[in-house]
Amino acid sequence: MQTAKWPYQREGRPGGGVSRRWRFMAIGAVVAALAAAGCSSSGSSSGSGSGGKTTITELDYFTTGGSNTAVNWYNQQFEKAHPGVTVKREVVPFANLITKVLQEASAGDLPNVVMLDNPNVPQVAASGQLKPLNSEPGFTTSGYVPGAISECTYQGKQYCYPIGTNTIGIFYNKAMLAAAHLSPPTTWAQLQSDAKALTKGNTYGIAFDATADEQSTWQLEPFFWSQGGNLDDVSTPAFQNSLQLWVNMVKDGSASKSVLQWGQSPDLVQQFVNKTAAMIEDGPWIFPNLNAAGWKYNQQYGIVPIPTKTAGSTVVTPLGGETWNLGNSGSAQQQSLAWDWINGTQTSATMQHFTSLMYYLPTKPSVIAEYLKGGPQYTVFAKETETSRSRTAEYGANYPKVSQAMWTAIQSAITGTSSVSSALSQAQSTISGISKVSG
Amino acid sequence: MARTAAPAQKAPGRRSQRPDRAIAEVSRASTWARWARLTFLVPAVLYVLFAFLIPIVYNLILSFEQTSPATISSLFAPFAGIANYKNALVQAVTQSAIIRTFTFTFLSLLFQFVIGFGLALLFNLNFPLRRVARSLVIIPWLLPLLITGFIFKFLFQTEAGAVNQILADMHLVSHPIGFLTSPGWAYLTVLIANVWIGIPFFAVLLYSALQDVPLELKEAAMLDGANAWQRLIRVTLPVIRPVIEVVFVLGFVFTIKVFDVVIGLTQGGPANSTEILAPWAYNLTFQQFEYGQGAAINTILLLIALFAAPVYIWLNRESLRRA
Repeated sequence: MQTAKWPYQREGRPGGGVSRRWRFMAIGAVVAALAAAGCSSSGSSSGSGSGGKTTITELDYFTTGGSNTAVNWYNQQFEKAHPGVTVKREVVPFANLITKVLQEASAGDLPNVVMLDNPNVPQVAASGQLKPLNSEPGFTTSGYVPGAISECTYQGKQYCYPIGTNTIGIFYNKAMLAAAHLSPPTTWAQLQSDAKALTKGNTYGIAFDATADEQSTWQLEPFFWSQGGNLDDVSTPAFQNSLQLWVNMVKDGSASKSVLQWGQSPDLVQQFVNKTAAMIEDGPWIFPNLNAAGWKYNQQYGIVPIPTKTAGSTVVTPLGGETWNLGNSGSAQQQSLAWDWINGTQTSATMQHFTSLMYYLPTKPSVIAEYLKGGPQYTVFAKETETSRSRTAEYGANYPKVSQAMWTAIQSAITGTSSVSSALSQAQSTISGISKVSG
Repeated sequence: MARTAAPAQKAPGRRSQRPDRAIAEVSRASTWARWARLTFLVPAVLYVLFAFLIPIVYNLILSFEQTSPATISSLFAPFAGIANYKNALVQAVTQSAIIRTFTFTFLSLLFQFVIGFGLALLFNLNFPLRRVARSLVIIPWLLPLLITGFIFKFLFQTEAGAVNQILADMHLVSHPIGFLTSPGWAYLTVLIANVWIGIPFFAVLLYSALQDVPLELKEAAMLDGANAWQRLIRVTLPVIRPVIEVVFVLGFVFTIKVFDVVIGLTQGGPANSTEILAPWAYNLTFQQFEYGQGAAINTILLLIALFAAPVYIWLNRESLRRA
């Protein structure tokens, strides 16, 4: 009988049970290995070393590029100036930082120096694991742009020094605008008509970021803030017509529906450099990408402030950037060294070098003036930061919830799931349930 | 006897007199052995404790507490009753996420089974390069899920996405489809990605089950005049039924808690159209800092997953009774 060719010919021996068990075990081993890989998380260590050597720990998310170089450069400077002190730096990806910080805060074991994105400062300060800076020797709030101070304020105390700051503007392709005989937009009407006129073939007139995260709220903020809108009430006309502007540009095809998927970096930059977007809303952190593509300021591209609804009104952009915070754990010696470390970043020379490596803006007007001499491409952003607004001013630690309500509304309106007004009244009903934590 | 020598030295005087000596020493030795055995259990117990029990219990506690950023550094926060569950469940996003989680799981398992079983049957046949093809099928399983998410994001982009390009070249669509930007399509795209990831699991386990279907049974059925379809339905399927059930129960548990694919592909967007429970719990916890509500969603997720256990036992009641 065995001579017949069976369709279900099998390769194994008659006692298939054994081979099956092995197979199951192999699968089990793979699953266990994957689970172990997924669960593994690195512990943190703190404390001072022995033999007269002191170690302070520092945590940030500057994994690559100029900001990574900047922190390493500063750590070297610091160690040179403080013999016997070692700075132990830990770098995690952007998305992991806040998770890690919250976990370590819950264990009362924050690093001595903690970098935080500015909208997260109130949350971490609320955990009680950060040390207020007000009583530290040499601390001052004078000489800074106002937004840089308010982003570090929580319940009347200062919890951080800004690392540097940034905000957003409109980058435009000079050749494309020149070919269409257009001038860069200064008003909404101009923005819309420019975007429409620049849309042809594979090229969209404008690209912005309407992704399902904070980035999209941040990109819409200049539009409603410049009209006096306030996150207290997002159903006001300022919000309605700002969101309507975005929806209209997507509807008439001047912006791709993919704005729902395009992050500020690298997606928007890629669209810009590939000439599939004639204008993008973005910030100075994309300068290294533009440099790498061989694009030069005032040659291939120009920058204008975010257009306002009517000509000549003041543009109010959100203030971006990260901050240095002082962890509450560690010995008194470590804390005082950590303070020296943070304070040292604020001297004019260090701030200027540090921010230039990072493609950020300094936060002291006196340093900014010097800075612009070497970098005219920063001019628009520098001007904007004078009137920039801290995102946590109204809702403090609850800003992320407000932002979530906003970006949900933005996405609902752009996908057409709901109208602009119903998306915003939905957001407003969420926001009215969110308490204002004093900022 | 070497084992009994050590304890016996402590009482050398009594050694030869007592007739029940051997029994006593054996029982003493087995006490030792029992302790030794327990010691070997310690790593496993510690692992279960720290990797499973403590997180689950802590999550449960957290879900009944009034949490805020101010409470994270203390182990306990004020009791909140069922407020977190209520606040989480009244949100429209949570409600739609629950329904979506179930439809997503159902559709995923359905397609994973149909395609996976088809592949298993295929590999059970003799054809050239069968082994190579069989190993290739496992690849989706070996890729980190986030990377799978990015690959699908790349393939399904509206502009310059490979899928849209192919559809346009075949003149099937005139405008690129917003696979990731239209709510309905985005759900489908995430589903396709998840089905693709799950197929190897079904294919590999079902294939190994097919290997164990006794040849004699199929031969007998063939002699009785059963055709290929009848042999599949009447012989093969009943024989591998226990494996199918196990695969479905495990697949259910794996799919109900899908997280990485959604985060990598859509982050739950656009407009929450791909939000399912696990990424939504993450969003509540780490983006909105509502730890309590995030924990409540996790508990709900855990209860749903635990529901699979009695179902599994019920399905296997026959074989369990026999055992």
